[in-house]
Amino acid sequence: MTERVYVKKHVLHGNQAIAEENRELFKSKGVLTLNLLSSPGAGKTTLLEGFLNSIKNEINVAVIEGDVATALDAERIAACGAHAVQINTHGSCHLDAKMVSQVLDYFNLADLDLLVIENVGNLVCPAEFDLGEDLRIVLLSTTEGIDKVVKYPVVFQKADAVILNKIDLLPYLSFNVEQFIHDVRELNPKVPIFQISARDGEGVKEWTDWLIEKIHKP
Amino acid sequence: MHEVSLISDVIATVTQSAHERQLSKIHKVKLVIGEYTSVMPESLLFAFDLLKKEPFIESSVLEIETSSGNEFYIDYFEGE
Repeated sequence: MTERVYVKKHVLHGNQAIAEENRELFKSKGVLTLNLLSSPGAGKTTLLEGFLNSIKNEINVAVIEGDVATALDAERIAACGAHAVQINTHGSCHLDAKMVSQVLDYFNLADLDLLVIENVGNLVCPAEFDLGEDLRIVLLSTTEGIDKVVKYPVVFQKADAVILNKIDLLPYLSFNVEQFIHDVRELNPKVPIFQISARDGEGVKEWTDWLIEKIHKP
Repeated sequence: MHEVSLISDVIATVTQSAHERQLSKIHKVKLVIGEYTSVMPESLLFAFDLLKKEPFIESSVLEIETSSGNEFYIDYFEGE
């Protein structure tokens, strides 16, 4: 006789369980954790370089770098004086919770205020994988075009902050900032939006101040 | 995104649950997928047909219900 068995289980429940373990660990060690997401070339690493140089003496930060190949980004972060560990995903287009948990032994979490996980450059897949982070920060650069918000809604919908980078290039582009803000708000009404130029530092302080406040009052 | 590996996880979960209940054949697997997930139902169906190799699941069908949120879960399976 045919029997119906209700499973009611998330398809990514394996990832979710490890993400929750990571989250508990970060919480117990008092580390605020960020998952930084964007397309390739949007400026995640450049933003982190400027950020790390500006907060060097205030808070202890470490970075997990996710890339398909090379340790180039970890080298850039290490050059700013922060502890960085590179994960090479060897083809996978996102980090998952297990990859993150496997490198946590390389850090002394109790000494850290902030752990930044720079995800693989991709607006699609990383959005689905919880890593155990406290905050998801999504970066879009003006050169990518305004339509990316509506084309990749999931990542913007789940963001705790949205950063628009490369605003120094606005005079040369047809990027409508008001429309961008409108489109983001349609998906995520209350999300803070920061407009920055990671290259020349404009606007980075506002984001840094917001983040420092989150560290002190999580 | 990774429909083949997702379906592989679905089949593994359903297989384990079916074994626990001593079911020898699975007829149907039902998934619920929210529109705010980056999962393509057509690719899941394709992957399911590709991966249901074992005799106890080879004749089963995958049914997908789409919802408005960001859910993505195995609702139920039917077997005997």
